[in-house]
Amino acid sequence: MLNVSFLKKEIKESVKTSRILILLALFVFFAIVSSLTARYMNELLSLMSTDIIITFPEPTLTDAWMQFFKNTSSLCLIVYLIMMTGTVAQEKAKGSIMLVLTKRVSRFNFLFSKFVGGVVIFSVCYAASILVSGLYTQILFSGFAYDGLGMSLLLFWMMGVFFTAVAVFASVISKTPTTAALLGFAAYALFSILNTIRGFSQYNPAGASALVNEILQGGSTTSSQLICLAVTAVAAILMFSAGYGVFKKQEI
Amino acid sequence: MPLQELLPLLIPLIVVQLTMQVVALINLKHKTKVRFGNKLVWVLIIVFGTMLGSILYFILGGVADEDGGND
Repeated sequence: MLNVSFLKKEIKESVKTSRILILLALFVFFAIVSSLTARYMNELLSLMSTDIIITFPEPTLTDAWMQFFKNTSSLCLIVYLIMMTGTVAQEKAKGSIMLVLTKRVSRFNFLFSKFVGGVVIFSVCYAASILVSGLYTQILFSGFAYDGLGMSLLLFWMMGVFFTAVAVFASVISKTPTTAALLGFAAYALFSILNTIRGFSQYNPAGASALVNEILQGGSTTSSQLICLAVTAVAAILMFSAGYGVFKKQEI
Repeated sequence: MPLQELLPLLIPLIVVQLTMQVVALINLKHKTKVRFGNKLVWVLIIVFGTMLGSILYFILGGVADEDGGND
């Protein structure tokens, strides 16, 4: 089902092209920035407004995690998505896909390895950012865990898996990496807009970004979290299957 | 906010940012062509745009060799 040697090649390629390093640096950078801004934002704002005295509520560790999820779901995820959308389209544009497919790698193996490779890269970067964010939150707020942290992190990881499938799909249906990147970004924007519909976030594969805010504010139920998790997992499978369906019949 | 308290926390941030800038500049040096402008423009964006400049380079400028620049 999974071609391990091709997967290894994919990951080696990510190391060689510095893709994994770039994403790792980006995720870690924003993990640090999130905790620092949550802790010192009030003081920075007070320094800027010297004429008016404004009293802000004391920042808590939930502010740090809220900032973390906001940054990870926006800039980090967008950059990851854009980088991942080139995965198949780039090989098609360069013509190297022919070399791979004429060897013993089936089309399913090729696409599935690309998908798993993306999930591995995302998971490594995400895990590193969680560790760094947890460490900084512990130092700055003398504690790092809140009720529902595990579920929030899991929901977010699943959303990353879904967007990996979106990236693979966009990459399959596009002829060039630029078109794939634009399609991937358009999908991200569309799913983010769906989050603005009240009560819909649990049925949205990208609903994790809205749902974690509800968890942080204590306004989310376990059932809605589980529904969101299941919907996201099913949507990821469907998105990958759709991509494979197109790729199977595609003339290369 | 005391700078002495903040400095150990800021050092990893600076290291990550500088690493990204160095990697971006090395990557740019090896490119034969870039998208959106020329190499000098991208050097300025990477150096003065700090972290965001490096990200912009990797997303927009640094892929011309890979896709043949035909889009």
